[in-house]
Amino acid sequence: MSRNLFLIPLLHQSFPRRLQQILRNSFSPQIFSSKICSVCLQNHRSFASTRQSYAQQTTFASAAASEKHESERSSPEAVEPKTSDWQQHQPEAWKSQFQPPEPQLNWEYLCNPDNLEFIRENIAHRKGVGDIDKVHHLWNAYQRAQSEEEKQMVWQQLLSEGFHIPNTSHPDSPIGEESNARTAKVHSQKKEFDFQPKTVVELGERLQMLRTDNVTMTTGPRTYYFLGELARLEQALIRFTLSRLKEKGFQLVSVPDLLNPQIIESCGFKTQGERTQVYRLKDTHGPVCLAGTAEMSLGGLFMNEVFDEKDLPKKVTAVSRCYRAETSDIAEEKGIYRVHQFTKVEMFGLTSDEGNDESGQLLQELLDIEQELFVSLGLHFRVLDMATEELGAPAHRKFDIETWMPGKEFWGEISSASNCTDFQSRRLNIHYRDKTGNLKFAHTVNGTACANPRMVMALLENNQKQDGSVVLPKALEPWLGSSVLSPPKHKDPFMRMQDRRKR
Amino acid sequence: MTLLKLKTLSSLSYQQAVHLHHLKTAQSWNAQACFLSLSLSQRQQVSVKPSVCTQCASVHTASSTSWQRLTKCNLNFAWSVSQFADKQQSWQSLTNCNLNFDRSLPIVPFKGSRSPPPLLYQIHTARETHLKSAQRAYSTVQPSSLFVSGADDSYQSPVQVKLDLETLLSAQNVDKLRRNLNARGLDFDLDQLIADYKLWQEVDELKTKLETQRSSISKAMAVLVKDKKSENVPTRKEELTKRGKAVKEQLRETMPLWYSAEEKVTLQSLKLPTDLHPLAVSPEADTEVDIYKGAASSADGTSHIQIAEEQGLLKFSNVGPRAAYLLGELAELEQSLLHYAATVVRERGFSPFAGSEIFRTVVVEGCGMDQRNAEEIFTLHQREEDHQDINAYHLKGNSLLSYTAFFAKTQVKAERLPMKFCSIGRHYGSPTAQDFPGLYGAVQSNRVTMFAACACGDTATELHDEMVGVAWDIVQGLGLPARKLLVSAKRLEQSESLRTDIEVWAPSLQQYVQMGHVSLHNDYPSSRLLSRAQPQGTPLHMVCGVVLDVARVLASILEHSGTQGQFELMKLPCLHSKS
Repeated sequence: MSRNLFLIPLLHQSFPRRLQQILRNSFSPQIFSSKICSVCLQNHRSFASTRQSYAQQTTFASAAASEKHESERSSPEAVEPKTSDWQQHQPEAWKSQFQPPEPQLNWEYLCNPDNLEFIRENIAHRKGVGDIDKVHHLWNAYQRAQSEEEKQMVWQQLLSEGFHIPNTSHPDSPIGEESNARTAKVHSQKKEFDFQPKTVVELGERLQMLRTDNVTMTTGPRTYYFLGELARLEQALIRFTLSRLKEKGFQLVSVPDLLNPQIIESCGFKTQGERTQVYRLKDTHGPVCLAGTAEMSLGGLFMNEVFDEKDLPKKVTAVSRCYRAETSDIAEEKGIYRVHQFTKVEMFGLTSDEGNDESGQLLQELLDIEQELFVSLGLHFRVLDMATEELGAPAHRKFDIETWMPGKEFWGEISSASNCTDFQSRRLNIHYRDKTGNLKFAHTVNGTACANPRMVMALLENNQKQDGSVVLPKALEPWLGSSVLSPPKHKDPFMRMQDRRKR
Repeated sequence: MTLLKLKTLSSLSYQQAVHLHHLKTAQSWNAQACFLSLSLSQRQQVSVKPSVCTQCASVHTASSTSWQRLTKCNLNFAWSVSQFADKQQSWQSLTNCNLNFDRSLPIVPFKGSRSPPPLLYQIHTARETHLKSAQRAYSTVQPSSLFVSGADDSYQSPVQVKLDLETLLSAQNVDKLRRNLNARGLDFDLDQLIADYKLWQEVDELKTKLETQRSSISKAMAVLVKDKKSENVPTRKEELTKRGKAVKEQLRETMPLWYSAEEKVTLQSLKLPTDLHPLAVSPEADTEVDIYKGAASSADGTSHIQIAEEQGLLKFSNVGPRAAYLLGELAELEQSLLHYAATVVRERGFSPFAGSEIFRTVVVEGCGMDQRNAEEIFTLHQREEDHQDINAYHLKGNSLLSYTAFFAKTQVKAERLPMKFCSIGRHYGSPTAQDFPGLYGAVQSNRVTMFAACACGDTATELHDEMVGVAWDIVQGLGLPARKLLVSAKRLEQSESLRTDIEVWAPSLQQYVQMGHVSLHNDYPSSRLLSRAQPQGTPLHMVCGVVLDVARVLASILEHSGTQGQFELMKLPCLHSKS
């Protein structure tokens, strides 16, 4: 039978005769060298050459592909080039290869035998990532190393081990797991409903403004579409937040979302491994990850920078799209609570470290701003001083804000603020010059001002009426116009098509 | 050029020393009992089904064990020959991949005296052949997520597109199609497709005939079984059984032909561009439709790259592909511009919409893009999985894809059409060497897009004009010199029937740069992604456009703001009058 299969490319034009021939099982291998074969090849060749260029691009195209194939035509996004030497006019920074700075860890602290027990204990409190004993072992090996070569080799190992030692924990941070978090403050009370409150998905679907099913064409579950007023609400929340932050002296920065994985690692996030939260592009595009938060991009902005002490604290904010390869499957997080992509307004700050707890103060400032924003939006929330296991590697101290989600009756995290002290700046090489001219590591602090789908969820669920309408907080009115979302009278115009079954 | 050597050792096992670059010159082949099947046409694909091979003493790439693991594979020689030979490891992980021998790869001369070229390998064959391994081998275009042959039961297409080929390739339409292809300058072998289609129809006829025969035989058999009276029942039974067997055998032999023909025709026809709009048919070059002089400015041609870095409004960085940070006033301006454009579009009746930035391959292909082209779209890294090239995730952001993904496999009530949406969001374009400098060629940019879906082509054309009007109004609000351009067929994408570009003047480049466009897509995406009007069941017609590409506009604004050393961000009429 296989001989029949073989002939397909050759079967055309004079087909019926040949088909009969085949079906009679009477063809001979000579058919292969028949004229049709060569005609066939001839015919294909012209088409093949256009496809070829695609194939070449597939295989060899890289971010820095230097040659464009003649047959390729401009895309609607691209403008027809009049010259081909634009490359040399690109900014200098784009022409150079990314070189991560060498981490400048606090060896004096890490490798002091007096601190060994303390650091070991801290690691144990923080999920046990990092091996301080190995760092000490390597440190000693480094001191003993004879040759320059050996020193270099041990140094590299030492760097990679030291890189993963977590930040110190604030003495007031509760020790242990998430449930040990200390409730620092509770604002207002749970809203009383005289009906069973609906979930955001139920509300959104009734309003015909949210789709969370039939999303398989994108990232699948954990993806959502906002339609009409809900999409506007998202924009309104961003503009509301930005206007407040501007009043507070934050400078707006627009950040790139595609980052070299090294930047993300330096901020204290893992980009490799089964459980990584970080999306990565295919290798053909070079080493590129999608930022999970603007904190990473802003870290990249300040990398290798030296500030003047008088210019600190520096406070910036960014609206960014955050991408997370979430894997959790907790029932109450279904819907739009934990999603693969969302828009977030992030606050980020740099402070000096002159012994007056500057970064601690900025952390408190960010926390105050967050609370102020959520109070304006009428949310019932609690502030948690997070326990050591929840600090990740970079945070010295972290406060989460959780709001009550009446639909599924749980406290949902809507904001998080961390003081990373010098953890990130030692890895990203961020310095400041103090009054006497000494170069010191700056401290970094970050906090969420508005994480969008969760904020939308909290606002919808807490402000719902029995008829499925939602009355949004007054504070948003200048950015939204109207403040009532009402379910439409007509039926949902969209219907999902049934999956076709294959033959 | 005849470097292909096929040596038949015996009828059951052969050793082939194949210089795979030159497969097309294959002179003879006894395909009986062979698991290696070759397509000798354009793509030169080799499909290998070595699961039954037990004695592979292959030369240098595969160990016998790894061959056995290579079940059901379609191997794609995507690397250059020597690279591949180096990747011995990869043989072991090569499950379900395509080996594609590209003619453009450098040809390694094969001379007897020298050691064999790296791609010379030997394969022992086994007695049996498997239908499925063969099905991909005959497809002359690469596999597509839009259609997967029924012969392949390892993967299903989420849409399984069936185009109306009878109409598409009808005698009346063929001339139009030919003119379309010519106007676009596409080198598409339409005759081949038509010939293949005829072939498929004939196989289909034969298949139908055989199926009818088979069912009539089984009916006759059923009658015969009940018949206790007639004479010579056993003889007739025997005769029927014999005939039945023969028909079954014929059908069994026909099916692979049918599947391959179906696949080839379908995959080829999916590559056909959409019909051209009458306005796009004739012009050889782009036509300038309108020009806007803009507010008086004193641009001296200094690049925004220099201006912005001097003013501390912009930081270019290598933290990511062509990364750029907008700072302070420029970042504020970005937000204001986005809000301005979104407000104008919304006030014109386009409803806000927020979707995803990441899409499945099927959406990318459904919009006529080539997902394998790294210069066309970003692809996300995936752990090794089956059918990776047609079942991946791609990063594109706010674009036609956002809307088509939403409308895919969806029916829309006709009385609610036309439906109009607009969206603010990130757009990511894979970088190419031809991109303009700085923000003009930014990889990431915020965009305001608009989209409309309707039931018929005439409404779509009206919507196109309406949307061009909106985009033109927006660009005039910016006060930058701009022009409106009707794009010639040669620059249209496969899915575009007509496109109007809105371009702004870039002083440093001394040319116009596209900052927006409106494209008429006919039913190209919806016939591939199954977006239908209800109850008619007809595919939706789609129009999609960009009204503001903020990075490019900001670059132009910066370049229009510099005045002989004095810098002040130009006051935009749209923001100035409103505030």
